[in-house]
Amino acid sequence: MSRALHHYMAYGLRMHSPIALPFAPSPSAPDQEPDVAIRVGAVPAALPAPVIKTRLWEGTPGAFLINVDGVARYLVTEGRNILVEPHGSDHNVGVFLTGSVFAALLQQRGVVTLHASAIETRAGAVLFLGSSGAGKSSLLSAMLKRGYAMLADDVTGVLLDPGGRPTALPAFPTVRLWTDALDELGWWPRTRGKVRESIEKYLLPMERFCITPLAVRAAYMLRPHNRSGIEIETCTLHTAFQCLLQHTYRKRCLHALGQRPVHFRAVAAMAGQVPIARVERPAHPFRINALADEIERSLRERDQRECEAKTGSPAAGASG
Amino acid sequence: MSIFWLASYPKSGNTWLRAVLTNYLHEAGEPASINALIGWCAASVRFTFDEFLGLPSSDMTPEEIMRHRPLLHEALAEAMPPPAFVKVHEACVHTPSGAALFPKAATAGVIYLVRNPLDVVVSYAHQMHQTIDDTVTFMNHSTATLGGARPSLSTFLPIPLLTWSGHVSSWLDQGELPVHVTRYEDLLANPRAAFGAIVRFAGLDWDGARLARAIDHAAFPRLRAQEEEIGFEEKQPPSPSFFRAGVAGSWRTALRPRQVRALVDAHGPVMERFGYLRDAEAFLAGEGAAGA
Repeated sequence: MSRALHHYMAYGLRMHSPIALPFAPSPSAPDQEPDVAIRVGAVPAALPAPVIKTRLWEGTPGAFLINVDGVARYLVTEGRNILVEPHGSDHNVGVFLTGSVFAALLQQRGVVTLHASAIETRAGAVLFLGSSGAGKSSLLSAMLKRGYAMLADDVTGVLLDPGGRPTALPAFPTVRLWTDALDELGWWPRTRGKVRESIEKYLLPMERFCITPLAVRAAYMLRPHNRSGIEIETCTLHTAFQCLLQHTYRKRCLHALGQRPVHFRAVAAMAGQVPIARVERPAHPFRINALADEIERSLRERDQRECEAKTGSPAAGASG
Repeated sequence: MSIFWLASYPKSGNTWLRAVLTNYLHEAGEPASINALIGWCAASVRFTFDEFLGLPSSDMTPEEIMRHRPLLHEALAEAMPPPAFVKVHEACVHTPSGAALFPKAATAGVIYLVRNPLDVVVSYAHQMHQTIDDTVTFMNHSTATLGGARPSLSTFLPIPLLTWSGHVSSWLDQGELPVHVTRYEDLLANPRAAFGAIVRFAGLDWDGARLARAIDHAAFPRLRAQEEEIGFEEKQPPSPSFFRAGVAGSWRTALRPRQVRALVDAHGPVMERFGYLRDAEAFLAGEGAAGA
């Protein structure tokens, strides 16, 4: 049985899929050959010679295979093809496809996958790096509420442009928000169903979404701490490099795919060019608006310093 | 390799044990930093789950996460060099699909610490910044779970605790994994014998002088002084401090008879098994007489 194809655009890639994915479809006419083809079919039980083989996934240069129990088996090859063998609902198949599976595809294409949300500012993309639960999505929500356009929710893809400058790619034009963030934003009417039937996290298409790749202007690494204040500290080159490695999404997969050398070079270039700061914020209470204030203040100060450095005189600089 | 699980209900001396083991293994002239203790709770955080299994825990249901956790424990066991110690507050339960949460294949042994629940409740209420009554209710709740309860902003996976006595029984009566059980009160009363038995159970090279120094370097006043000086990164807000009293028996002045009664009613048999019941009943009888 053949299914109608859905057309999407994410991370600068045109793709088509017989399975509806949990984000807004591409508005443009699908007359070009897609960069990524998603197909439904039988996925082999194993890869011939995996570099890393775990109980759930295995990888080797050019191929990544993962089994999500009760959802699907996925095979990603050559950064162009995703073969899906569904075992669960289309919705769930799509949710996991846009996570680890798509990250493996990006890694195969040499894209740096950072565990970060990202926004557009006047001076470029600003990334919020953090582990699961560090507050990336909450800070993103607060910044969206202040009118910034979104670039990425959970995984930010970064490529070096021809001039060697780190550039952030627009990810999926949909944000996944927990109930507390939706309460805070008052965006319940805009939700389009839950991410999963039984968890309190909702899909929300973002109209204010930046559709073009954007030079990375700054990155903030979020970390909850058990003290009371918000502390922002600029990283040294060495710490910045460590911090980017630490917040690389699916590091072990990167290793299996043989992409570590490419990744190291890109991350080193990014650490050398992009100001990276560590932001420690109270785990409890979160004080999300105070945090957003501090981030905006830090961005303004950066703009001002850079403006002064360029012109040799003080000038007003603003982000947003 | 396989893992020695440092297992206990919260506030039962787990961090103190980790401090002693750290100082035992690191032969330095001065006490090890409390922010670099061995036996970090690697099995209970979302980061390791996501990274090792390649799955996003934040898009998974609690049941799905639970179903996959034995795989995480096996992957951790394979990845960690010996001696591998991992702190866990999880009860030793089974997943929804019937697999053991702590697989035999991933386990070298279990070092289980048990502490008088009457003292646990006082310490736990302090840490959670909540009333004794609420903490008693929590310790008596058969499906009590730590972390993951709030829909966002938790770096931890959901941690199944069961009731206090359910926790103790889940580890001590499972019959599959080798367990060495130690009472917190014995660590206090005779640290050299109690910690020494743990060191031997874990198969570490035996050195009495090293152990004496490790116990001294991890002495309670030193841990507390370090926390005051540099802060303890593992402390969960909102509690003001992690290393608080480090004594046994503070319940006698902190608890009301009905609170003692509620814990005794719920956990009597396990309290008796560890010698905690007699004091509690004597206290209740005395209070009853005083009130009569």
